[in-house]
Order: sequence, then C-alpha cells, then structure tokens
Amino acid sequence: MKLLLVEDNRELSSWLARLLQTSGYSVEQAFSGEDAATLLLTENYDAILLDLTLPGIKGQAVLKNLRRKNDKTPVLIISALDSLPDIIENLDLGADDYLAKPFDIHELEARLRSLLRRSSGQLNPVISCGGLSYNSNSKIFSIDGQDLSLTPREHAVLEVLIHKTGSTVSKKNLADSLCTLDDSVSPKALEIYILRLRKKLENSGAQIITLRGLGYMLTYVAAG
Amino acid sequence: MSRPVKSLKWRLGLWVFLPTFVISFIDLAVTYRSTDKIATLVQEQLLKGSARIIAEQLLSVDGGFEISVPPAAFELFANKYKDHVFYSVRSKDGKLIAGDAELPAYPGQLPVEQEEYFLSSMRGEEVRVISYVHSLPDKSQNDFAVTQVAQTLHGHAAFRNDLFFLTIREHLILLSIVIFGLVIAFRWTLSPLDQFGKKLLKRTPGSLETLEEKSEPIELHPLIFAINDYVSRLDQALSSYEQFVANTAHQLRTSFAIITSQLNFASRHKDLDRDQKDILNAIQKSVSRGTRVINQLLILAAVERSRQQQNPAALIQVSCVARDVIEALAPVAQQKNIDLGIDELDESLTVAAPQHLMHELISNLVDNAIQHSGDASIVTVMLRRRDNAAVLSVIDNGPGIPAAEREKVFERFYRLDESRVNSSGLGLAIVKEICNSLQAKVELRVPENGVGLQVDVVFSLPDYDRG
Repeated sequence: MKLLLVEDNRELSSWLARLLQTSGYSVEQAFSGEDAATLLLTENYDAILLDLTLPGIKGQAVLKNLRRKNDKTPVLIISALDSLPDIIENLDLGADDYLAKPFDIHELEARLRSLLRRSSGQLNPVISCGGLSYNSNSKIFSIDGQDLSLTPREHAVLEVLIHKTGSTVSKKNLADSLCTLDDSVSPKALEIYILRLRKKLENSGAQIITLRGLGYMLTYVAAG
Repeated sequence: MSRPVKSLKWRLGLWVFLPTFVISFIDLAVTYRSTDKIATLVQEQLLKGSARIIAEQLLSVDGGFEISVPPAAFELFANKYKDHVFYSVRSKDGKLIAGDAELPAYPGQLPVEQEEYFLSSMRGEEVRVISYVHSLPDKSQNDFAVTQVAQTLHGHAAFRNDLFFLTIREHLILLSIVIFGLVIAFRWTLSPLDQFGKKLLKRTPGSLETLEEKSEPIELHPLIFAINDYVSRLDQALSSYEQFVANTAHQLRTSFAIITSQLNFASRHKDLDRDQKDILNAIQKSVSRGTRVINQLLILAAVERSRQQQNPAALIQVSCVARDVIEALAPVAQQKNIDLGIDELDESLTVAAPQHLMHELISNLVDNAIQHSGDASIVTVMLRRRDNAAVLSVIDNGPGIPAAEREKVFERFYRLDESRVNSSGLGLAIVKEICNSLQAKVELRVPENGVGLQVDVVFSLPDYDRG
C-alpha cells in the first residue's frame, strides 16, 4: 500500500512515516502543497494523508484540484483545526475522513484501513477493533492473528457489535438479531453471552461496554 | 462633569418653560399697569361728563349764583360697587356755591375751560377728583367758577381687576398649551431615543454587529457612528486575539502530535520491559491531558465567538447528542470502571442550539462527572420535560460539591481539589459559557438520594413545544 503524506512539519512527517512504515505501508512525504501537487501529477497512491495548514497552496486547494480531476483516491485530513464547522466544510470538499491532531497511531491506522477497505470495494474485508479483527468474507474473528473460537450465538452477538463498533446496540436489537438462530433469547441469556465474550476479548483492547439504559457497545479501550 | 438636571426632557422643558414663564410674568406686570390706566381713563371720562353737566346748570342771578343739580349728573356713576360720589361748585374766590364743603379744592391754578384730575381722600376713602374751571353762562369776562366731582375708587378697582383677570386667564391657557405641547412633543420626538436604547439592550453580550444609521433620527447618527467605530475597533482587537489563539493552538497541537507519534513509535519497540512500558504510558497520559486543556481552551474561544453570531440556530434533538456523547466517553468510563448510562431520555425534546455547542456542553458535563466521581462510581444522564423547559441532568454518586463552593466551580481554572491532576479546571467554565450563549440555566444540587452531584441544565423549549 502506497501512501502520500502531506505535512509541512518535517519532524511530525518523518515520525509518522516511520510509524506507518513499521505497519508495512510505503510512505512518500510532501512538505508543501506545491510538492503534493507535483507528486500527484505523476504518481498514484492508495490513500493520501493531508494536512490543511500548509505553506503556499493550502490543503483544501490540493483536495479540490484532486477531486476536479475526478481522482477518487481516498483522502484522510489530519489537521490541527477541529471545530465541527471545519470538519463539515472539508468533508464537503471531498475528504473521506477527518482526524484532529494530535492523534493516536492506532486511531490513524484504523481510519486508514477503513478508507482503504471502502475504496478497494471490500478487497480488504477486515474490520478491526483494537487487537480484534473480523474477516467478513471468511466470517472468522481473530485476536492479534490468532483465530478466536466462538459458539454460534456468541459469534452472532459479536458480529452485530463489530459492525457497529463505537455505537450502542440496544439489548432488544441484539436479541432480535439472535432470533434467526433461536426462537427467542431471554435477556438473562444475552447477558451470559456478553459475559463470555468479555472473557474471550480480554487483553485484545476491544471491550464490550454496558451503557445502562442504552445497550451494549464494542469499542477499543486503551489500557488504564 | 455632573449636571444638576440629568434628564434631557427636563432640561429642554425647563429651557422652554422658564423663559415663557418669565415673559408671561413681565407681560402681566405691564398689562396690570395698562389696565389700571384704562380704568382711570374711563373714570376720568365719567367725572368729566358729570362735571360738565353740573357746570352747565350754574346760573348767575343778581350778582349771586343759582344752581339746580340734575340727577343725570350722578346717574352716570351708577354701578354695583357702592361708590360714593361727591361734588362741589365754588366761585372764583373759593366760596362754596353748592355741594360738599369737605371736598378739597384743587391746590393749583387752572386756565378757564380746563380740567385737571387728581387723587385725594374724602372721609377716609381715596377718591379721584376732577377740577373743572369754566366761565359763567352769561359769559361775563374774568368771572369763572370751579366745579369738582369726586368718586371713590371701588368701581375703578373692580374694572381694572376684571380686565387684569381676563389677561391672566389668557396667559394661563397659553402656558398650559405650551406644557401640554411639550409633553406631547417629548413623547413623540424622544420615542426614537427610547427605542434605540431598547434595541441596544437587546443586543447579545459581545455582539459585534454594526448599527444601521438610516432608520434612526439624524441626532442619533453621531452616537451610532461612535458605537460602530468602537465595535469595529473591538472586532479588530478580538480578531487578532483569536488569530493568536488559533496559531498557538496549531503550534501546540503539532508539537503534541510529534510527541504522540514518537511515543507510539517507542511503544512498538519489541524489547520493552515493564518499567519502560509504564513510563511510556505515563507520558502518553500527560500528553493526552495537555491536549485536553488545549482543546478546552479552543472551545472556550469558539463559544465566545459563537455568541457574536446572531443567526438563530436550528432545532436539534438533545437525546441524540446525549447518546453520541455517552458513546464517545464510554471507553474513558470503562477505564475507570464507571457505570455510565441513562435513566430517562425524552426523545421528543428539541432545543435551538448549534450541534457542536450542545455536544461540547453535554460532553463536558459527563466528562466532569467521570473525572470527579471516582473509580467504580455511577454516572447517569437524564433528559426530561419540566413545565416549559427541557432539563438535562448529569448525576453522579461521587463526593459532590459543598454548597459554599458551588458558584466558584464555574470559574476558569478553579479546582475543588488542587491535588487532582486530571482536572484542568475548565470543564464547568465551558459549561457555564455555553449555557450563557444558549440562554440556558445551569444549577448544581445534591441528587435525590442524597449522595454525589447533580448538574441540571434548563433549556427553554421552542414556542410550539410549550404546554
């Protein structure tokens, strides 16, 4: 996977490049809007990480030019501006996602994976949450590369949750999604599945959180 | 400079009314004199007529005089004021021919066919006297008589006073027309001033909108110009301040981003021992806290800015925002083993507010509860309707805030417990700022079960949603 990193702060750029390289990406760096525009004339990238406040040509202009040429390369904005109006404006310009500085590399890589998956049309069908991944083709869950063994009901529950990572799923919706397997699922039974899943997800970084009154949510929780 | 009369109305009124009053007073004094003169003239005409009638009746008989005074001579004076009339006819040598001997003679010399008027007194009363010198009917040379007629001054005074009171009445009518006119004029001319004041009062605090000159009276233009000038200078100052804040924030964020990526890189190193991992985690936490403070400062600046924008916000569903906030903060709550959830979330309640401000508001409230209630505590979000308001409550069962401190916690950088490193002291200040900008009320209280802290934010509902 080849990435273009457009960031005028050379120090930040080099550290990000090193980090992304350890994750197996090949990264080219551009330190100004002009550099980025020149590179984009000749090169093709799988994704672009774009800072907005650049010397000379601004990030917004680079993005606009790219989209005018009908180039659909996914663009992830990384910027120190993060008010909601800024975010909306930039997504309107054709950015695919937005991440405010400073960000954690796990967050960046997760967003990047999701962008690449979308742009490649499910070529990379893997959904991740912390160390937990789910291959939606093979329907297999794994933690840090190790396959996770789950009962069909646990699998069904976790599948619903991982598709909605970061959002709550009400107990009712979760129970409904199990109805195809069983006639009905009692709330008590659901609690037991969740309890078992929590044990199996220990140390993966992914956790099933109970939000009282709202339901369950699968999310990445950094070690406290 | 202090002025004794603060009100423009009173000042203008005094300057119109006082001169009018003084002129009126002088005019009355002059009028009094002229009415007195008119009354005197009238009395003199009567005295003259009477004196002539009497004089014509004087006959010279055998070296002596004979006179029969006709009643007509006194009927002239008939009035209701009980005036007394006296007369005397004397010969050239001062001998009384007829009439009242008490009537004093004119002290001076008069040519023939001349009369003179003077004031004298008669039986203790003041009288006006005519002294008329006339020749005798037989036209004998060098012989003449003096006829005098006197009248008390009752009728004269009454006539003068009647005339004078008429004038006073006219003046009073005129003065009341002036006062009435002034009051109406003040109401009407000064009403734009009142309206202008009300318009200024209605402006939201910190509004940098310029005022429209066109619709206001010309007299207000210098004031409007001065206000607009002041506002534009304020705007420039604020803009450069905002630019400074934005630049600083950008620089700090970039630095923190570098540190974060360096830390990320370091933690990926394979041969880290436990201590090294702990140290890296600790640094990571410090960086996150620093980031949080920067973000909160930026939010504060943004809230202040958004107060200056006047366009009304769209209606948003508060329950949706609350749900988003809870989901976003769930990992933080989970780290501290906090039971985060909702009790009642009325989905029908909508409030006019910018989405991001509402998000920041609820986020700061919930985050504050998570940070301050301690590990394994319970944090609950509620949204209910109370009368014509939507009440958002965030309740925790932590240590709470003593009543004496409740006002202070809204101050920037105020910390209840100085030893607590996690708190920036900005969370509740942001809450207060946002509430001010949304015209919502924020109240701190002890929850119903008596433990912890309950923060209520009371939003007024849009008109159509009122019961």
